[in-house]
Amino acid sequence: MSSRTRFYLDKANGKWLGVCSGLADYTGIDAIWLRLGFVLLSFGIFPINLVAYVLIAWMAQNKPYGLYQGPEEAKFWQGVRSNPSRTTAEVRSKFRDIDRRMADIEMYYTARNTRLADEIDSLR
Amino acid sequence: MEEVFLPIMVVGMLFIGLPWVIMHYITKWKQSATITGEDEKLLDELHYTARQLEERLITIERILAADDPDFRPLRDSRPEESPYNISRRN
Repeated sequence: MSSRTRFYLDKANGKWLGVCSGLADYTGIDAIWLRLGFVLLSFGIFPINLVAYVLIAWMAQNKPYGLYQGPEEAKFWQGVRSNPSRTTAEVRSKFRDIDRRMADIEMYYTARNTRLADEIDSLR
Repeated sequence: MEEVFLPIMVVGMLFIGLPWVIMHYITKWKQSATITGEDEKLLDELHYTARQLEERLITIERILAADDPDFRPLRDSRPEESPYNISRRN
């Protein structure tokens, strides 16, 4: 399975070689801001940014097809890339939430069930 | 004096200062955001399990709520985020 913490070119959503959209996919920043930043950089250091763009496009791999199951998963992996420990903490908190809710259900069934008792009483 | 000093400053900033700053941030980024392949797999599995469990739990809560209107799941106090709506009981 291909790694989801690597940088990939995203040619499907890209304008030319997919570097900006790949960066957008990697960081979670909207691609338009990265493209704007790239264009603005052209005023300052014209040939360097173009060379960097082509170099990145040459070095990076294409994004494998079906890397994420859906947008929710893509967002999750963006979080992992930017801050793995926070994402791990989020997963843990989700497990805690599930535990709490299950405890609630357990409590409901183990505690005295007045409604059920009333129904049984009415059947007598 | 100044026409000698200024180019040296500019060249120093451009060829030493700028790469220094860039390298500094690259090393920082490399140090912070690393997660091994095994960790990645484990995290993926945990995430998947958590999602699966939550979906099952939502189903159970829905069944319980349909069974007994007195049962108020904890989820009601929080903003709705799942596609299931607990008020749509059969």
